[in-house]
Amino acid sequence: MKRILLLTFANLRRSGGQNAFLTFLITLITLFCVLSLTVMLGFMSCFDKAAEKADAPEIFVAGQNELFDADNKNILDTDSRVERTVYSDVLYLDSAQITFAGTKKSVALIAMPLDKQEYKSYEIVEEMDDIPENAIYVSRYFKESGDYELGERFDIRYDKIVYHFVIAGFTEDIYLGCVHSDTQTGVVLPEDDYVNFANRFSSNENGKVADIYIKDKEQAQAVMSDFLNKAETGTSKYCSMTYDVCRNYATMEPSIMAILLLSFAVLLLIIALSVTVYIIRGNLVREIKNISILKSIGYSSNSITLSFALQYTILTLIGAVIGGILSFVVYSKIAGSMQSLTWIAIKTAITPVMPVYVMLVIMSIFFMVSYITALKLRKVSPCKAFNSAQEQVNTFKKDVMPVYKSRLPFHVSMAVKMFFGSFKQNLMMIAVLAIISFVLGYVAVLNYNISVDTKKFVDVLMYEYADITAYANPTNYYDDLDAILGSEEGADDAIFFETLQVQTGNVNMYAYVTNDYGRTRNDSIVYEGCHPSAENEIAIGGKSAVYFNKSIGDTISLDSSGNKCEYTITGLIQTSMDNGFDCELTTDGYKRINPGFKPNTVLIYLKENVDTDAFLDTIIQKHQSQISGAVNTKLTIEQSMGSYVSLVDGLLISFSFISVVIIWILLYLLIKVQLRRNDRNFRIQKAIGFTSWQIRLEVFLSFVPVGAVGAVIGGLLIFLLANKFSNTLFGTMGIMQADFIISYPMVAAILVMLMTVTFLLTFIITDRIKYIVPKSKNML
Amino acid sequence: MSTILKAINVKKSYAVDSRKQEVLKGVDLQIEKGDFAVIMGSSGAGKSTLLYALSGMDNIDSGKIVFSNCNIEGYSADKMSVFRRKHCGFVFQQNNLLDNMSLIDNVIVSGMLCTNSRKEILAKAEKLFEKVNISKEIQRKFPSQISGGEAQRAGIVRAIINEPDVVFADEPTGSLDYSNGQVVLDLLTDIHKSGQTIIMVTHDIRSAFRGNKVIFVRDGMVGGICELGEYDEKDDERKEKLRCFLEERGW
Repeated sequence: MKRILLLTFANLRRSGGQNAFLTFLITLITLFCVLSLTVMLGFMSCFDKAAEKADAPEIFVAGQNELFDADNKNILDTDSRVERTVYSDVLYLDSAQITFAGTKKSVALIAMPLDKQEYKSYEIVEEMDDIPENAIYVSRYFKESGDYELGERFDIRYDKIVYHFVIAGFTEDIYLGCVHSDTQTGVVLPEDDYVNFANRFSSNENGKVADIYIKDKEQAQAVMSDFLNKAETGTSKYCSMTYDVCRNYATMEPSIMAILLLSFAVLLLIIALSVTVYIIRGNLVREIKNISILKSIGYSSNSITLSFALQYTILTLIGAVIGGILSFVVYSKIAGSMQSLTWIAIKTAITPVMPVYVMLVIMSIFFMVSYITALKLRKVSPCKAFNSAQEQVNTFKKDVMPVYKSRLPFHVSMAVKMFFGSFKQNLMMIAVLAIISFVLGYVAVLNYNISVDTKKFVDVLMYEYADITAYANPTNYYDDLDAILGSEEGADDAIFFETLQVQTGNVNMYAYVTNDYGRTRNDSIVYEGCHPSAENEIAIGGKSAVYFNKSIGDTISLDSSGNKCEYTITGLIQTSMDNGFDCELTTDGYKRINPGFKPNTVLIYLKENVDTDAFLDTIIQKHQSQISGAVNTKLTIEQSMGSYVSLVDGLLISFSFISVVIIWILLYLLIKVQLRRNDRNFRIQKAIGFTSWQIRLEVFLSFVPVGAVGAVIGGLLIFLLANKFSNTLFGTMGIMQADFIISYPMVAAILVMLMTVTFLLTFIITDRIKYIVPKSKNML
Repeated sequence: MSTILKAINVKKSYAVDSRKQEVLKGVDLQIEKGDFAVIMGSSGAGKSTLLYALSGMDNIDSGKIVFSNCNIEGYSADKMSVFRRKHCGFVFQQNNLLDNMSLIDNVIVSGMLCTNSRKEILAKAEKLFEKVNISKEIQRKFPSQISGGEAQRAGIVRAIINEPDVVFADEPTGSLDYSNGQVVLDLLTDIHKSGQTIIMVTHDIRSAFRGNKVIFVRDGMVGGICELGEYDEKDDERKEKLRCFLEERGW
């Protein structure tokens, strides 16, 4: 071992630039891996800890009192899987409107009295010293992302009346901390304020929260489905969620960030491994004489191979240690931004185990790759130790483009010879350049879709959305409300579109329901087959299709309100809603399992250049008896994605910057390795009368195809693989077939830029040729 | 005979472990056109350094080198390259052929530096190859596919393709066996007979015997010059003269 280490350190002392670059890359890889894994795993475990501390139940159901009558309660009481159920009296305000980050949101608002209910899933994390009148406690998410501070006014609009409150404190609430549209949001009021508030509503708004604790957590989905299946829900409004779904929802945005970080780390790893292989092969040529000498004096091939592998393992160790230390520093800086994306204060830190684990994995990969690459030296015979090094390595067999036959200009012929003379190395360099082009291009594609033209990104993350979402007034219901609103001046179309819950087997699914899918606008939803058009047809989420082992043409049965019907699958859909467990039904199709169903939500699509806010005001004024409320959906989406987009934007800009730095260093090293490989020939050329400029021109010309082909292949990879890579990236969220916009001019600009950088760098680096002197002890 | 190369008080030193080591300590010599000058001396005497200083392959610290009436010691690296391609040919101990090119290409590449006519240089190269007894088949092979003797003969063809003023040879038989060494020496003798000026560094007395002038280098200075006259294999007097010259200098 001592002997091997002796060789390893001798190798390390050479090639300082290459070693430094690889160490830099490994540092970045480790840093990104540790950060992403900490966010992915740490956020989830931290959320678990917060839930455990708050004694959060496995199932959360909230709704109007009708849902919790004696018969329905009995279902839970007699379910052997249920350990206990805790009920809390609350106000359940379906479709209440609140303002979040300057935009109106429609939510199921659940208000409860402070300290006077059994609901335990919340904790007050910040509070004013003096509690004002009309005090209200809201989720800390309102502070982190909603622009609210203590003492600020907080308005709730419900049934056309606005109720004013003052924020007296912020809470952390496992199930009710979310402030996304169409989800439940909880507020807590001091007892007196709560009583005053409750007195302003009829008994319709009285509701309950049921915290259902079960014996086996794995049964949560089944227990919830069974309850909702058997319960007589009538017309009562309710919402429900299992703990797993809640946790996934809470950590979704940080998880996307983490996935982006991890994917960039993987791409960097591919680059680092390609460079390692390239450098080792180059070094084998350069060091072949030393290798044969070592063999001739008794070193085994295995010892020398191990010394090469250990060299890169040591570099990996150094890079990983630096990356691991850096990850602690960087995480402390970004943790705040990441935490603002969720509603529980994630107080997670990097555990020392994580960097060690990442380090071991990366070290093992580098050891294996470098060992396998260095195995080539086994072919070097010790008896050739004292021959010319080049003679041992360069065994050219085919004379490609002989100069004496060539009709090309002399220096072009020489460049062609040079290109084919290092053909394998040039192929490798083309591969590395192609990977770099792909990385840079992919980062640009993501950046373009997340920051510039966001439609496709929003389309794959969201389901159907329009410019405005209006809600029908149940007490003055019009069957043709969609037609009425669609005929307003400025409206292009309006459709009833509902998001409901259905069950299949023991699994809860979101069901999107509308009359005519031909009038919906989000083309990214169905990625295989087609939307349902008949009442016995259904399109289901790709992830649920895999889960249920179903494909197009198969049938699937749905339950709702005690009715069960079979549907034929016509297509597969993709959304990030409920992690891909969702389906599409026609209105008539849904009525088969819920005959009394009346759609409530109308999506209004506006013509181009129509002022959305003005239109919104008009319909609220004009149709105040027919609609209970309306919101500017696109603005809501834009604002709810605002902090997330700016964070992703920052991340992608950092990726671009890192990629550009890596490209410069990488190209510098690759070209330098090529120059070193040809050092002997350059000396000979100089000796016989070539000027530095002539050699430089030839080297430059020989790199033209390398740079051009590498960039073009990279460009092709972007077009062929960018969306496939996105599918892998976002597949866990239910997005099966991302169709991000790949802007031709943008990709072309990146490729031209990369080629220009390659050529410029080649030109700059080849200036070193002037320092090559013809007289050399090796040569002469 | 006119002087083709003149060295006046040429000095050259190297830094070894931060210590300056003077290799040439003021060399004066003169090579006439048509000479076959042989530089001899013990190891470390400065023979090769002198050869590369004279050919402009290496810079000198001080002194003057006048080559074909040009004062070359102040030339830039690129100007020196251009000068070398027109005026110098080199034969090295190792063949030093470009390994990614066939023998014919190695010669063409050198020839194309002085002419734009590929056809003309190809014809000339083939003629020279024929002269050194290298067949067309071997001409198309790579350096790694041929013997050391063949490679050295190809090196000689490359050295003379541009009809240089001087061919510099640094121990051209050093890495060859006896018979291949004799072939190479015969070739050099032949081209010298056709009027080519040659300066050759050697350790080998049999090689030195081919020259008409032997310059003995000792401790970085010219330790004596022996004028032998034209080479004649059977001339024992020449051999004796060279032996005595070298013995007097402790060889």
